[in-house]
Amino acid sequence: MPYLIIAAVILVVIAIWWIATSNNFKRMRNKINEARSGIEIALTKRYDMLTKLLDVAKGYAKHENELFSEVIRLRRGMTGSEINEANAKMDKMKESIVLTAEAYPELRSSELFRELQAGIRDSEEHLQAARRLYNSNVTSYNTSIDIFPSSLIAKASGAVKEELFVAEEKKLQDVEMKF
Amino acid sequence: MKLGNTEPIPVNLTDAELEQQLAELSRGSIPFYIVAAVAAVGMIAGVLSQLMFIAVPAFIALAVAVIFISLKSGRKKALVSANVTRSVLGEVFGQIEEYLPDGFVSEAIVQNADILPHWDRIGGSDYVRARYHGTELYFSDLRLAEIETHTDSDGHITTSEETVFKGQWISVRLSKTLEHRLRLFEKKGILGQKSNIETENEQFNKKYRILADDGHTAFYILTPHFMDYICTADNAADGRTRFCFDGDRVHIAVENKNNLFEVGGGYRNIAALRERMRAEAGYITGIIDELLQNTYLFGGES
Repeated sequence: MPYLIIAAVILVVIAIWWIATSNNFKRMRNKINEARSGIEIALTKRYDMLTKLLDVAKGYAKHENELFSEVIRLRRGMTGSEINEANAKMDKMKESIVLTAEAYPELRSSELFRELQAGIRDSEEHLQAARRLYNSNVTSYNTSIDIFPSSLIAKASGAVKEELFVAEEKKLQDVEMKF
Repeated sequence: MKLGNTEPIPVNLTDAELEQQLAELSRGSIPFYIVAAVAAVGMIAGVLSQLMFIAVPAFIALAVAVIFISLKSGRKKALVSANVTRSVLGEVFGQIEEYLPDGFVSEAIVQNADILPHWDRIGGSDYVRARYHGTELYFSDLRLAEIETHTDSDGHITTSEETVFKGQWISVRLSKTLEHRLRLFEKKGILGQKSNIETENEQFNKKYRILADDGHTAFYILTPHFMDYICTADNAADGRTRFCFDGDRVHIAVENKNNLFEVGGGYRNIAALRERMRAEAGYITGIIDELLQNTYLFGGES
């Protein structure tokens, strides 16, 4: 009889652990999705600020029709490579504005231009923060999939490792916005 | 023999005049130290031998002596504050907006930051509000104590006071307003040190317990460079540090068991005292300088 009780207790403890670990995996997945959403929000904010800056630049460079003409598409649920692609296009947009500003000193010195520059810098900091938070959540999740005994739950539930958000090679070089 | 001095505190004294006044106050305290020592012995002897007609007057004499010693000590502090400390602070910080020798940071601010252990009594001194390299800040010495009550088997209640924090509280204004709070606690020991955020910097994660109300805000503040600056600021502090980033401020509690800008008894002359205070003010700016390298959070960017 005592052995039955001990066995029952052990089974209950294992069941509780199983449920808690499964729920933890779900919590981590939700955090990853939330962090991905944070990247998209930050990307959208960067895009909005750059668009406003582009409009200001166009106001000064009226003769330059091809200031920036690429289409940047943002949507919910973008993959890592789609995010990287959109970000790369925004970098080109920013370069285009910088080149224009170099040719038009009155644009560089305008109050609105300076404010938007500061806003873009802030949006880029937020984007960095969002990426790092995403990677932190993914690392925790992937580690739980790898280590024993939570790896048992991962295997049973078919959990698959998530990809880290990796910056493109050229972004790893220092790029300065010079005026 | 002057028992108390209600004259206004003279300012702009020369070093020689100030030394003379401090020496007079020290000499004037000697009789009270003697009275206090004799009274303490008398009180203990009276209590032990249950001679209350000795113990009670001795206690009264001790209390009076202590009052006068503290009055003289307070006068010394006031003289030094007005003639040395204020000018030293002005030299080091550039623009002093307020200096209160007996003031300290508001209890509400310390409570809201929620980075220090529970306390029952708060005290401090040398509250300074200044502008340093264009950044607004304030700081003071801070001491927190817990009062414990014990009841013995006979029903006698005794209270004891234990210091739970002694050091400085520094508060620096940010150039941004944060939507969520971030707190950092320098780790001590192993238990109860779990963070709710892990950064990529292993050294930082080992050094600090990170409690973030929001993960995004934590990573927004804790950039790789800024984590290095925080660690360097902590080295400059040479004490256990805690940070609270909240709204448009960062609060730093440095637990080093020191009380800055005090007269003490061990100075050779006013020049040496001034030099010591300059070093203490430099201790505060040494911590702040590291943090101000983050021009993004603290302004200074064109």
